[in-house]
Amino acid sequence: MVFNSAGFLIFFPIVTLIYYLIPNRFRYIWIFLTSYFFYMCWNPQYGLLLFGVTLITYISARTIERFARSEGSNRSKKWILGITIALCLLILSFFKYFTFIENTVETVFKIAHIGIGLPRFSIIIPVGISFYLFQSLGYVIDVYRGRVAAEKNLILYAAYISFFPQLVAGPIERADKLLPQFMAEHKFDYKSTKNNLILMLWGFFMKIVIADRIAIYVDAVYDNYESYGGWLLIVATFLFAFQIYCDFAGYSLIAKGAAGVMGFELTNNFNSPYCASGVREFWSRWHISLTGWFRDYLYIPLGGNRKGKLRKYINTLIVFLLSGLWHGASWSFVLWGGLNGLYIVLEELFYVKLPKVLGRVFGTVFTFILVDISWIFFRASGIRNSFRIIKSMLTFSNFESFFDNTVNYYIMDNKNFILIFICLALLIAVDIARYNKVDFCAVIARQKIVVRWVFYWAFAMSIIIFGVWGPGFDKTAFIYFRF
Amino acid sequence: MKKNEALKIMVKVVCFVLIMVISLALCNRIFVYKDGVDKFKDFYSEKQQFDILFFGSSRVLEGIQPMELWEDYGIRSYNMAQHAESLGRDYWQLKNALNTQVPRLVVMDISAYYGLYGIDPADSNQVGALHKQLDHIPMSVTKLQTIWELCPSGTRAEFVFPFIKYHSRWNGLSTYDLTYKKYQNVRKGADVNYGFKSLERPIWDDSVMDENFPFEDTKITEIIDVCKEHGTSVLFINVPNVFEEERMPMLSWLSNYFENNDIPYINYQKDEDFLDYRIDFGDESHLNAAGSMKLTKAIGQYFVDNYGVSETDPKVTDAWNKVLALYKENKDSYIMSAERNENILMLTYADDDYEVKVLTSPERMEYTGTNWFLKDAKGIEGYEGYRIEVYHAGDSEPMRIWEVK
Repeated sequence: MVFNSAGFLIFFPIVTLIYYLIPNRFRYIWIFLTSYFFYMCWNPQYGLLLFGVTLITYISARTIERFARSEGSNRSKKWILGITIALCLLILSFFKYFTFIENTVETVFKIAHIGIGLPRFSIIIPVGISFYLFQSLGYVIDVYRGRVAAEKNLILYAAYISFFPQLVAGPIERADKLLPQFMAEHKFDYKSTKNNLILMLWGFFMKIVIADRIAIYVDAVYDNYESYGGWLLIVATFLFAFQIYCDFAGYSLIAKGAAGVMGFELTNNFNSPYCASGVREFWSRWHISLTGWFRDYLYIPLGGNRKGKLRKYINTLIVFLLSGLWHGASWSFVLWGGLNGLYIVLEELFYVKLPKVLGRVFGTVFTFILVDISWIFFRASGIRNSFRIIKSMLTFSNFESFFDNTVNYYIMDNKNFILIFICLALLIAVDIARYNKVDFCAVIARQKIVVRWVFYWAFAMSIIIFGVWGPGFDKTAFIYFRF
Repeated sequence: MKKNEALKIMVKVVCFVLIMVISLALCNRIFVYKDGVDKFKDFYSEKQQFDILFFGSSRVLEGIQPMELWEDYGIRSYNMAQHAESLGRDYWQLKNALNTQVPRLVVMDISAYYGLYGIDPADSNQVGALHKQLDHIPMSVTKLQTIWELCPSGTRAEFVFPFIKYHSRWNGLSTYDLTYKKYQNVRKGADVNYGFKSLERPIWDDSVMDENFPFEDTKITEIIDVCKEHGTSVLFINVPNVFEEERMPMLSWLSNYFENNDIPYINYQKDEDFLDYRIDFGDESHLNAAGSMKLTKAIGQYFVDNYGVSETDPKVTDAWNKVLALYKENKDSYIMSAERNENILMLTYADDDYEVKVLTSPERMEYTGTNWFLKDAKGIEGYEGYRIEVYHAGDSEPMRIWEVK
C-alpha cells in the first residue's frame, strides 16, 4: 500500500480511530497487525521476510544481552553480533545485490577473456528491505553497546520494526527514541493532529503535485536523451534534483505526519537541504536518519576523524561509497556516492571563507550545482549513459525547444510545465522560511478562523486538482521504495 | 478532553468535511468532459415527456433526426444512441432512461447486434464510450447497477465519481464548462453525418440463416420485459447499412426470430425501398444527412400510422419550436459553409425545408452526378456553367449560390 493511494486514505483513518479507541496497553498489538497488513498489501510473502528479520534480530539482541550480563562473555557477544550483521547483510545481498554481484563477476571474467555463465534468478527486491534491515541492525548494535536494553516483548519489538508510517522508506529510527513511544500513553490532541495533518498535506503536495509532475518531464527526456539533448537535459537534470527531493521528503513528511496523528514523533528526515551552502551541510540536511546511521555505525567505528586527516578522508569516502551502494545495486550509485564523498573531502581541503551574504548565496548555488551533477549518475541508467548525458548537456543545444512547442507537443503541455515552476517557487520559499526557523503551523494557527479555513480548503483542493493521480497516471511509487 | 471541547472539534470536522464534499461535487460538474453531457443534458435535466426514444449505435445516432420528426409530424423524440453501442449497453441505457420517464414507444436498433459490437456490455476498451454514456446520468440505484454491470472492475469508482478521471482537465477548462447548461442540444441527441460515399445496394438474400449464430436472446427479452414493466411499447429496427456478406445469415436468423416470436420489427433495409445507395450514405455503415432525412420520415410515418400523434401542451410546443428555430439555423450554417457540390445537394435535396435548383447542361448534370440527386431535373441545353441555387422552401431569393464557371 502506498501513501498516495485510495487504499491508504481508507486505511489510515480507520487505523487511527481504532488506535485511539482501544486501551493503551493493547495499542502496540494493533500497530503490529495493521503494519503487517500495510506491508503485505504489496506481497504477502514479504511479511514472512519482515518477520524473519525481526525474529533474527530479536533473538540476537536478547542473546547479546544475556552474554553481557555474564562476565567473560565479551567474545561470545561479539560473535553473536558478527553473525547477526553477516546474516542481515546476507539477506540484503541476496535480495538486492545478487544480480549486481553476478554481473560484476561476469564482467571481471570477461575482461580476462574468460566466459562464465552464472545461473540467473529473477529476484524481486522486497519493498523497503534496506530500511528495516538497517533499523534492525542499528538496534542490535545499540544493545551490544549497551545503549538500549533488549526488548523482551516480541510483538512490541515487531511493531517497532514494522511501524507502518516509516516501514518502507524511513526515517530509520533508533530504538531508544521510538521503542519507548509504543508504551507511552498517547491521548488524542486536536492541535497536534491538525499540525500533523498539515504536514501530511504538504507531503502529499510535494509528492503528487510536484514530484510526480516533474517525473513526466524527466522520464520523457532522460529515457530519450539522444533526441532531447542540450538544454532539455539541463532543465531535466535541474528538475530531477527537485523530483527526488519532493518524492523522498514528501514521503518522510507524510510518514512523520501519520505517526504524529497517532501520537508518535519521528525524526525530521529533511531540513531544507538545497539551502545548504556546502556539500557537508547538504548531507547533514538530506536523509538525516541514514546519514546518522552511517555516522554512528560505520564512520565512527572506522575511526571517524580521530586517526588523522588522511584516515578521516578515507573513512568519509568509504562511508559515501557504501551509502551509494545502499541506494542501489549498480556501479552508477557507487559512483554517485563516491562523488559526494569526494566533494566533502575537497570541500575540507580547499575551504575558502567568503563574505557572509555573497558567500551564502554563492555557496548555496554552487552546492546545488555539485549535488545536481551527482544526481545525473543517480537518475541515468548506467555509468556510460550518465557520461553521454553530460556530454549531450554540454552541447547547450535545443534552447528553442522551450518556445517552438517541442516541449508542449512531445513532453508535457505548457500549462503543466509552467505549473512545475510555480510550485517550485512555492517550495523554495517554504524551504527558505523553514531554514530560517519559521514554524508554518504556528503562523497558520495565529490567523483568524476564516483565513485558516480558506487556507486548509485551498491547500487540499489544489492537491486534489493539480495532483498527478487517478486513471491514466501510474500510481508512481516513491523512488526510495526500491532501496 | 472535556465534552464541550470534543463536541466543538466534531462540529469543526463535520463542517470541513461538508465543505470539501460540496466543493468536490461542484468540481465534479465543472470538470466532467462535456461531450457526453451535451448529448444527454436536455434529456435528464428537465422533466419532459417524449413520444419516442431511439436506442442503438452510431447508425441510429446519425440515422434519425428527432427535430425533423417534430417539424414534420409533431412527434417529440430523443435520440439516445451512441457510437459503438452494444445491445447490452442499450439495455442499461434504456433502464436508466425509463427511470426518469415513460415514452410511448422505444425504438431499438439491432444492426450492432449482428455487427461488430455484439451484446458484450463489459468491454474494457470501451471505457471512454462508457463515460460518455454514464457521466450524465443522475445518481440512482439503477445507475449504480449499470456501473457494476458494464464497467470493468478497477474502473468503477471513476464512474461513480467522474472527477477521479477528469481532475487533470484543469488545463483544458473553458468558460463553456461553467456555462454549458445554458446551451441546448438542438438535435435532441442526434448527430449528422456530412460525409458522402456512393455505394451499391447489397443483393438481398435471406434464404440462408446462420443457425450457429451465437445468439443469446437474454438482452432482447430483457429489453421487452423492462418496456412491459414500464408500460411502453418497443419496436426493433434494422437501420440500413452495407454490411459484409457473412453477416447476412445472422440478420436473417434475427429477422426470423422476431417473426416467430411475434416481436414488432421492421427491417428498413429489406422492407422499405426509400434509399438511394448512390447518395444516401456517408460511408458503408452510416446514413448521411440525406439518408437520415428519409429514414426519419419513414419512422415518423410508422408512428403516426400505428400510434397517432398526441396533443402537446402549448408551453411544450413553444419550447420545442424554439429549439426547432435553433436547429434550422444550425442546418443553414452548414449549407452556407459546404464547399463541394455533392455536399450542398446532399444536405438539401431530401430536406423539405429547402428547395434546390441546378443550372447546367444535361451532359454536365450527368457528369457531376447531379441527376442522382435531382431525378426530374433535365438540365439546360447549351448552358456552359454549373450553378447551384439553394432556397428556403417558399422563398424567391436564394440563400446560397454555389457556382463554377
